[in-house]
Amino acid sequence: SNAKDGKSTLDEDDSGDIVQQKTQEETLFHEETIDLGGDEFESEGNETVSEDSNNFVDKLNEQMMESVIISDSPNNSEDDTGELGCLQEMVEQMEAKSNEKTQAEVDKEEFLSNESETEHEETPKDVSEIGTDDQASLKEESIQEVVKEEPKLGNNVPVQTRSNIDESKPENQISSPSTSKPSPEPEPIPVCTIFSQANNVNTQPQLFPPDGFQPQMVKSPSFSSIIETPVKSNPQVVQPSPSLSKFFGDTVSTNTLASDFFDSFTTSNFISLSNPNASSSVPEQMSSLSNGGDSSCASSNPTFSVGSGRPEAGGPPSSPGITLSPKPFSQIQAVFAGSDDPFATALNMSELDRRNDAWLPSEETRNVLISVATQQYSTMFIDKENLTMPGLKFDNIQGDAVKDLMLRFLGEQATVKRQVLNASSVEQSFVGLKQLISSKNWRAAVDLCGRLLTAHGQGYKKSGLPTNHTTDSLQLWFVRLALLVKLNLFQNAEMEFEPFGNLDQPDLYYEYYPHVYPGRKGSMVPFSMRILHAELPQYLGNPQESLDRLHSMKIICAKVLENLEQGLAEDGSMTNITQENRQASVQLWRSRLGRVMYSMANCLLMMKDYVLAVDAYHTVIKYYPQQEPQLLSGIGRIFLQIGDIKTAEKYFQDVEKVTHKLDGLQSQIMVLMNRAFLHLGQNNFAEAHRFFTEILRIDSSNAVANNNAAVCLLYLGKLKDSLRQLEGMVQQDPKHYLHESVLFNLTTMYELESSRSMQKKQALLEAVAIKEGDSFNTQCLKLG
Amino acid sequence: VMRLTKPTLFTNIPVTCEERDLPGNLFNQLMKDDPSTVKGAETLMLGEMLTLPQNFGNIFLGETFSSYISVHNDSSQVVKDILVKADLQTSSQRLNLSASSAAVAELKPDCCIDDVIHHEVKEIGTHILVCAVSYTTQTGEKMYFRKFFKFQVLKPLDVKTKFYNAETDEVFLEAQIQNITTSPMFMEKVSLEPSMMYNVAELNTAGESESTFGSRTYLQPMDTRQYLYCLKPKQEFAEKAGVIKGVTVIGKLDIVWKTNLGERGRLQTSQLQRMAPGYGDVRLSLETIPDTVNLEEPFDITCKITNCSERTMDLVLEMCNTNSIHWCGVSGRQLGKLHPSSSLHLALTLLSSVQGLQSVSGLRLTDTFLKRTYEYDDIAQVCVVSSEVKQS
Repeated sequence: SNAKDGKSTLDEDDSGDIVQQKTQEETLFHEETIDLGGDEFESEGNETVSEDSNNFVDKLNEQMMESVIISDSPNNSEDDTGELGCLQEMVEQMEAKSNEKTQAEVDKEEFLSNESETEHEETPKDVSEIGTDDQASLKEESIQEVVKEEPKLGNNVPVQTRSNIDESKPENQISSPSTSKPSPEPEPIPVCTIFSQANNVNTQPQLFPPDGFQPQMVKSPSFSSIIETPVKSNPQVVQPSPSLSKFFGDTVSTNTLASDFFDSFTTSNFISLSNPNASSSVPEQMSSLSNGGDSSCASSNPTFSVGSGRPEAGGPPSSPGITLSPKPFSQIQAVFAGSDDPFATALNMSELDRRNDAWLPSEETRNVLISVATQQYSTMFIDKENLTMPGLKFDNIQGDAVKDLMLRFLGEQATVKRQVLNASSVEQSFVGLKQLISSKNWRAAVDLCGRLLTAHGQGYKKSGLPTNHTTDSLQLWFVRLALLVKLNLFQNAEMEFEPFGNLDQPDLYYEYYPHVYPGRKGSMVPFSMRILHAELPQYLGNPQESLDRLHSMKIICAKVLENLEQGLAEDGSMTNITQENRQASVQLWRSRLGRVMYSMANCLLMMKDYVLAVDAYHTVIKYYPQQEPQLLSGIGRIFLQIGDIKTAEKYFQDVEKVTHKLDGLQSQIMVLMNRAFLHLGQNNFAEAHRFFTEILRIDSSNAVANNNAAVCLLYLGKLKDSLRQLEGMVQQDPKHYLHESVLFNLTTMYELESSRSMQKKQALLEAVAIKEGDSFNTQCLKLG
Repeated sequence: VMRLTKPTLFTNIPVTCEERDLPGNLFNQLMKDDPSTVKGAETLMLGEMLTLPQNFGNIFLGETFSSYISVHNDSSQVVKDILVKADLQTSSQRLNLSASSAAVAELKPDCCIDDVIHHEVKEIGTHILVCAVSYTTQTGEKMYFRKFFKFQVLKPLDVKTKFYNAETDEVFLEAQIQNITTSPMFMEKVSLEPSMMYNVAELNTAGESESTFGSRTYLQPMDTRQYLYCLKPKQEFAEKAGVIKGVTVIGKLDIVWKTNLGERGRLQTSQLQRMAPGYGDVRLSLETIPDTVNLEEPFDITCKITNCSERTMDLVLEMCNTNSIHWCGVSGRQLGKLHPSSSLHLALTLLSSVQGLQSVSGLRLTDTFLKRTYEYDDIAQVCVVSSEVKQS
């Protein structure tokens, strides 16, 4: 509540001037209308802004344009009854407050005695303060005063009607004479001012909720000793210098250590340690992620994992501005039996791999890849800028906001009960990772990804260091970044995405590692990671960049489809593909194109460019015809949001024509839901409630209908009923209904209901603690 | 107390992956399990879950201020005779918004009295919602407390107008309406309610019913739209058109808009006034004139001369030739007496000696009573072409 205090002080300061002016007048004219002070400036300011933003041509026009005063009631009655007493009172009280420290005691008394002359039935004991921050919720600005209507001297006892009296500010209790006769010795007045908890709702999504997680570059202690040496000896690690070999030497040791660690958990029974060469004859298996075929390739061959760092492999000292190519791979080449054989190579490339990994590199990247392919045995030098050198940008973001809140509000005793998985409590492998994700412990999962990547040599502070990529390392990055986005940690995600550039560097293609992935073509970057990469800027306030990225993805997807239609392979090469496989491939790429369009539509919606967004959603329908009813409903809701009820209605009618695409129950629900929304748009909450309730009759577990019906109840003035409905829902199936939006509504209503909302919120926290993982967004509990 | 703006729809952040990716279908499954997503179309960002307003937000002139007032008994005692009063104090008046003024007999612990108030805001500036509660405790003590909630009412629209006066007594009104709020605004209705003297025709559709604004039915923040109206004086007033002088009331604009989930707002402008073009004492207007004429060939025009003054005039017409315009006929002829508000029609013949767009100028009317001369230049333009061109 410190913030609140600060704010109210400001408010006082703000109104101070007005108050001073007014008080002087006040003492003279009691019935005068109080000018509520400098507020008009705000609207006028608006006007100025609007004019400023006009361009010059408009300005010229404006000379001829006449500004029109808008007023709904042109003749506002000026007949002011004595009702203004209240305002006077308030002003006086503000005055009284500013004089709190009793410097102007005399003034005040004069004042208050005046007051009691005007106000006959009430004793002037009200202390009030007016919150001026119109952004904040009304209920947070309230200052309550309790006044006893007993003008008798000496009979005044402070009244405590609220339990959270401890929050009251004692200094706000002004002493004032309680009779109209100014007495030299002011009596303590029976006033208690209760401030409700300052709960400034932050409308902007906070990137870093105040849960103790700061995106600071924290270095993992466990890893620091390894990195320190190279960093110290070589502050600019990538600057080639005579000590480069030393640096590489260091990296070797690092990587060796890392790969040891990597081994230690890859040897789990889950990940097969089989020789990749052996498994290469079964390409399906190799490509399948779950069996970790590719990572085993890395771990089973230490030479490979330290590849680029080996000084002896590089031969001559590297020249400035370049780094070593994956030349050392040639040394393991010997173990790849039959990789010289073009037929074997062709076999290695599985149908699925080709289909999924296909991507069209840029001209520049393509050239590099071709030269890698053609100069297999000679040392290749590639510009450092063309390499992808990712590394963790922060370490240990792990934490548990729920637990922190429990410590704060429920005490240590209760906190012990909170048991969630963390990165160390699961198997250090993909299995453990999946376990963390599905138990909604995404923060821990991010950490585990970090550990696994560290083992891969792409750990903290490894950004900018040469490294090799495997299918798995990129998948790990994808999972980590996707989870960061899911946790709304967009800035962190952006930082770690940065080294990947536009995901088109040559070392992200299989062709770059002809000996590790003989014959395999395409990009290692998962398609979903590209989507994630493209979508990210829009969450950071740069939707235009998102659109650009999505557009270039769209072009490539369309080109791939075109290639397929022309009888070529995805990448445009002349490969024989069976009809069946071609069909499957077309299907995959169509759905990918649809996914890109989906993201575009979402992005446009975020930009509030509704016309284009609606167009884009129409396009999505072409790619996902089975989602037509949902998408048309969505478009209808967009129009509802704009306020265009008629068009919304038209779309909802269209939905009813296509609901045969859904099963009976689902279509019934959708029609009812849309009707309910339409009634909402027409301000008819009672009807909307009826339809939401109707849905509950056929599907009692429908969370949306449940929640929305409760919201309608509130608008109908039935707070208690609404609360009962939401509470019942949460108790009935906490696993599903402890959702952010539901809890947010619930806490909002608790706040409205009573100033004792804290207890109920804490009860919710306990419920959350039992069911939810560390990824729970605690902001919706509004406990802050 | 909580302001009841319309609820908003929850949006989620879709993160998807493909079957072959490391998490398998985990991400997709997580999204399916999320109650806020649209089932069957989880990637759709705009969900169906309603969330309550998170802050007071902005309130604009013409919108309806709705608020939930809940009086909750936090104590463990029953209180009696509870009277809840909600007033809205504006800079000029104080309104009572409570639905009922009857006292509630008793309020048990942990129970509440609920009221939802609505008020269409009609003033800009500071408003204060004053909620006063009085009650009696078990011991018979009369208690009273008040709460104040202050908010600002802002201006939602910027309206600018411009008038064009046509020769035919029609008036064209151009109105620019700018959305100066921070959210998109759907313009449900923008109409001109004419004053009694005029009939209005809206010129905002192209063809049958297609709006000139196309499919974009809403105004983004800071966007401006231009509406055009044509006003024709009604027959009974048109007769006296010459008499309409000085400031005339044209009518007012009625604007209805909707924002989030049908939150409605309505405003009217004050009466739009225009300065009728000053015609002086004598008005000369053209009734007929050809648009294209042949070089050096005479053509006819018809003028209407109206006496706009309060007195009778005796007029003499003089015609002065310019470089290009040559009047045919006698200059200085008597037009006779013209009474106030009456008019006469006059056929004149002239020819042009120069090709191109020529201005008809050079008419002079002299009122012999007051010896006052009125000059009429640039009455109209004609296009003068050589006769060969016109024939071919």
